[in-house]
Amino acid sequence: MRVLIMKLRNIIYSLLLLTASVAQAQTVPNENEDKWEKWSSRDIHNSGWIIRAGYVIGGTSPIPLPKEIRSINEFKPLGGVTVGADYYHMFGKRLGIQFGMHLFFEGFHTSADVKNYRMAITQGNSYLSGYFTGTDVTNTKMVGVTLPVTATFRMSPRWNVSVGPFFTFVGKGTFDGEVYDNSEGIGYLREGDPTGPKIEITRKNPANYDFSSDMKHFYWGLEFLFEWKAMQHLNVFGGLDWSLSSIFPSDFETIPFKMYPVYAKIGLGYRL
Amino acid sequence: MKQHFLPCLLLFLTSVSISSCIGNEPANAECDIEQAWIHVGDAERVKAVFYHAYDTLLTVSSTQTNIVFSTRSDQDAIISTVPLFLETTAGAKVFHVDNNGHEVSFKNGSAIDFSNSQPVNFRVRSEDGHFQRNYTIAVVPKREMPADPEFNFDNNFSLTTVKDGDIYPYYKWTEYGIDWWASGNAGYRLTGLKAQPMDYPTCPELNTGLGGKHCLKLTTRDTGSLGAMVGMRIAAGNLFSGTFDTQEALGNTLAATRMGLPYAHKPSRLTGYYKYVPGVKMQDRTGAEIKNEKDYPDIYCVVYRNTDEQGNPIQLDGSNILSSPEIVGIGRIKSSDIDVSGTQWVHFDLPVAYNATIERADVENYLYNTAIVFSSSIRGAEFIGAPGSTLWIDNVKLECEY
Repeated sequence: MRVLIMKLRNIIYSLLLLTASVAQAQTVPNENEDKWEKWSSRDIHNSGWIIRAGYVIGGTSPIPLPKEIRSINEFKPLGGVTVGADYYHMFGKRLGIQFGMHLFFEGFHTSADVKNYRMAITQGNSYLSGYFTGTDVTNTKMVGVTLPVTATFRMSPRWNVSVGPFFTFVGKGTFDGEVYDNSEGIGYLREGDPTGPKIEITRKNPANYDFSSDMKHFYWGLEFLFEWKAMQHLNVFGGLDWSLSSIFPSDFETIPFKMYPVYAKIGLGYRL
Repeated sequence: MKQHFLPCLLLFLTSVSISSCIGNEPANAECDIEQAWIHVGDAERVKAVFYHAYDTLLTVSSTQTNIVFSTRSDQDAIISTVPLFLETTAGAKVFHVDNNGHEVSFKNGSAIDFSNSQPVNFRVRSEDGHFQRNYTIAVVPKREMPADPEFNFDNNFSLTTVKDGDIYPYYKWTEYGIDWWASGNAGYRLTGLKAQPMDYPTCPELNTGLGGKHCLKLTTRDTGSLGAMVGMRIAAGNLFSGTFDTQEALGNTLAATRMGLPYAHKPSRLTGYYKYVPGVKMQDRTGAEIKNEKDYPDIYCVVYRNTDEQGNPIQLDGSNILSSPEIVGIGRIKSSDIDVSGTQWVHFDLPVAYNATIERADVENYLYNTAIVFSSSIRGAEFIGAPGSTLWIDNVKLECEY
């Protein structure tokens, strides 16, 4: 995960440096007020549309990570696209509001080693619960639409920061995976509690799960968005959608933790 | 560079928070005795006390809390105080519980008084202190299954669970005071179907046996959604002399049915009565119907060597009980002879054919295992069969040459 974030950081760096150098080649440093004027939108009402497209990366995770999760072996984003439009309105030089509608397709594949991880499986009439030690592999994908309503602060002539709630409707979501033995060959369920029957679960015959139908279709959270005006109409943005509600209903006991989708995004916006 | 500060800070914070989220490893919650062994003396003494040298070392399953070392029954085999060694799950602490219920910390190698076959109490507490298990350990003369045993399934069955306080018990059978029979019921329980005792694949049927008494009923059951999840859509009803290892119930299922127990007599034929009704839809492991194929039951008796030349134990299981080179004798019913009407009791008589001469002294020294196996689906071990196939068994007798 950290490697990935560092990669992402490098990408952002190089993108910013590239666009900065392009932009700087065009501009001659001027007096401060001129800069504010220069990078303001030109229309009369100080409002308009921004069309965005970007890359999304992140995952759905208990926050904070429970101590039963011992290590994350693998993390791979699946898909990760966001396209949408925002309507913005600046009330003055520094403060504005932004409404958006973003279609997204995001997901991830992760493999984690867990120890004494409480789990329960409900499938039809069947119910089995216990404590699992071994490797847990999870795949999740979500397609939906996010509606952010954010307050925009103009930090500097070229920098905007927006913060506010977002509301997400998931059209189709999948959450499935399997459990089996870890790299040391340890994979077992203690049925009921840690004194219950020990049942080995191996790669040869893993136990699969699919909680897709248990997923909620609505969640909400906070969006943080940073925008940098690379050119008059083109901006680079990066941000974070931090969900404050679990993607599973509160009475869903299979996973004893609340699972929060947290996705970072990076992309380009075009101001119409 | 200042302009890059904010997004970089954000990403940095995210990466730090995620990588620092892995907390300290939690203390172990398990408190099992996994192995137990005693030192009774040199090799000669071991031979005088035990039938096999490996009987001094017991691997304890996760569902077992009564640990028994079985000795020979003669005077020379009597032991009193010997050093005991226990291997537990990591971090667990063992206490010897005396007759007054006081806990005394137990150290490996401590001398324990096992005289008069009295069970000694132990308590194991988990490293995290939240869980504990009580065990008894005893050294007792091996209980002998007599020659020509009869199994009429009229009584000797009772409800049992894999652990205390479990509310989903199932039936098990004890013959001549010995846990002779095992079944896959403990595995079926893991389907989470909350089955009633009479809904398990292996159960008694009351008042429908020969002479209006009880009999054994084995039914191939659908294992529900959880069973399908692990690729085990059916559970054949089975009863076999041996043990069922719950630990392997989902991973290596064939190895879970440990068939055959040491027996000091030489079986010559397996006789008894059965009724059989095959289920309607024969299905493969994926649940797809196998057309033009009918389900059959299986009934057999296998005798095999239980110790190799190096003195290691041999335990056959569902994967090799009919194919192992250690087998010396087999008597098995032929599918073509099966009466599938299910209307009346049909007599079976299966002579055990031997492919090798076996020494009587070896038999009497428990160097051979006898496996008697009944199953409601002949390919049940591969999870192929017809749900609903039912095999009733009654008045079984194992005739012995000596």
